[in-house]
Amino acid sequence: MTASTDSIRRFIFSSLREMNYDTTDIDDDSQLGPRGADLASLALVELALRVEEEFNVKFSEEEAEELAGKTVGEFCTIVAARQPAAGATVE
Amino acid sequence: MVALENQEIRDIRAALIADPDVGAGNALVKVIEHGAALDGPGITFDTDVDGHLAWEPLTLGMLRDRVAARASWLHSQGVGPRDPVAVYATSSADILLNFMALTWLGAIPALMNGAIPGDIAAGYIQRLRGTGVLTDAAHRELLRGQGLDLPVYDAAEAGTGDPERAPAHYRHHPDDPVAITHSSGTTRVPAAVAHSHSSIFAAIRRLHLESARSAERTLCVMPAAHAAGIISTQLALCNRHEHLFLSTQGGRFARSGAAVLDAIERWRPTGVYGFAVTWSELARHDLAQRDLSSVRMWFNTGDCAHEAHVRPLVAAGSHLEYSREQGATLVPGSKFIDGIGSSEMGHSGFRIAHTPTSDRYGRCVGKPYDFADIVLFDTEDGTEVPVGKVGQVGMKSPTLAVGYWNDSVSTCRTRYRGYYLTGDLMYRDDDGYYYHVDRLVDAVDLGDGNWLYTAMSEERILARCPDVRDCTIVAGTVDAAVVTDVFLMLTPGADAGADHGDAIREALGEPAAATLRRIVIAADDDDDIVVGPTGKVRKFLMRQRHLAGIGAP
Repeated sequence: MTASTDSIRRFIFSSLREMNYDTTDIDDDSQLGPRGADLASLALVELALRVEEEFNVKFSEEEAEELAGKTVGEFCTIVAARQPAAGATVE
Repeated sequence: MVALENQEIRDIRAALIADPDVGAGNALVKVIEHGAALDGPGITFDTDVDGHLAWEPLTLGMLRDRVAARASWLHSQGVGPRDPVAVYATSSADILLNFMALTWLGAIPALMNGAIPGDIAAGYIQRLRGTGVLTDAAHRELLRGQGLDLPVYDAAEAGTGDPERAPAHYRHHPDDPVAITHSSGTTRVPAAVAHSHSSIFAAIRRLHLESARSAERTLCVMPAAHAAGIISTQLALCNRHEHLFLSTQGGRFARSGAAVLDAIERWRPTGVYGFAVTWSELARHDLAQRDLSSVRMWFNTGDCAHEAHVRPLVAAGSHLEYSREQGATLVPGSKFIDGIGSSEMGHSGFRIAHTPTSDRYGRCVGKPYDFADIVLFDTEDGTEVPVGKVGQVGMKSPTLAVGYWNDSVSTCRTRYRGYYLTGDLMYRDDDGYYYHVDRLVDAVDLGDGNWLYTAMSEERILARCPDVRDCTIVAGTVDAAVVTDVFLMLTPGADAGADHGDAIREALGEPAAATLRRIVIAADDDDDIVVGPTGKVRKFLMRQRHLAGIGAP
């Protein structure tokens, strides 16, 4: 079963709130790194690990390190595309 | 010191990126100008600084004062813009504080590794055509009688200047030279490399200020008087990291492992910066017996590190794991960032991350940074080589040094089609990963398209022989025939009588194995191994000594 981009986005936002980040000003176009959400490096690692566990995906070292330059929308798209192909979706 | 607020760090980083005047010549004062709190982190040294105790952090305000004191004193001695001044000292504090003081005045500090012998140092200073030399007492003695006719400034006295009387900070143009560093002398006498205000800051601007913010506590165990020493310090200042710069690694740099481990346990860094020789030195020690749990990243630059030295490091330290049940927790195992680079490259040009679960070794140096344009040129016809074929590395990058100081011949000869030729031989695979096989000057043509790549062969020997801590291959031509000598340094407690012949011949491969003349077990302090001031093996001198000098075995 695969998750839609919307459900991935919701999970990312709820994770950020659990990690004590204020998501008020964050949207799809916000970069995760210093030019946007300004997640600290450890927080980026934690977010990637949470997403990996939730959606059964895996990021390479290089991908994880490049997350700071990705927007929330781009991150959602990457996760959605990474999931195993299946007919059903969560939504 | 007060803990820094995230917003403060974010604002400072953003302001530094937006300010086109920020560079290596003024990073300290620009960080302050853009709002960094004076009671935030400056630099910490392991030696006393003007009465301030070793290991006690200098706040940013204290750091500015100590630099301004030196700028004031040097100004009173007549040092001014465009004056090349050699800095020849042991302690990181003497080197880095005077680097910043000289750039404050618009002068051009020529940083020299304190391990350079006096006679070589004097010749190097003469070639600089400098206007003065700043030394500590020990190095003043080394220069005595060497025929230098220059003002000699005392490093301790420089710290007695009045910070309030420092002149206004020099306003640098991006192209202004702000530092002269030297190559490690692995293959030749150290070459003087000139860096500009923008070039040696380019990677900080494009890479380190754009990466995710982190509350790092870093330890630098590289010798301070090198491009990497300047960069790691400015990177820490701009990102507001707490940074300890070690200078007393236990005497001779190449015997620094124990001192480095002691410093890690005392400072508890999250990141450790070092050259490849440090990781080789740490391989003498059982890391499981030490508390390295604070370390999440090891940063290597200079030569590419060997797998045999990286694996014990990534098994130590800690990294983050996450599970729904336990949340985020730190667990054993760290990351090793290998970034091959040089003074001339002005920063690492490539990057690869090794972890406990990664398996891409074999001298893989990863991929080029986005800011670096890399081409591999055929060593014979100068064309770009295809995937899989070894070529010489050409690099275009904003980090590149502007050239060799007072040596336009070398500057010219190392440029080709607009690229700087790094002197490295690499090939790349279908996935875009690059592999370092050797330095061009160390590789030996065996004829019929066959080459002996000494660095790659050393990697293979280390991978095959766990009882070998480090090794050096010296190959050259004696009486019209190629001969190869292999020097092994064994792990503590290893059997010195063990036969490594088959493993070494296998590592060399045919036809290089046929050139193997002798295998030498080198003692720790053996003169067989010739090292330069950074602890790197000087193969050029070893070839002279072991091949030309000895002749027949």
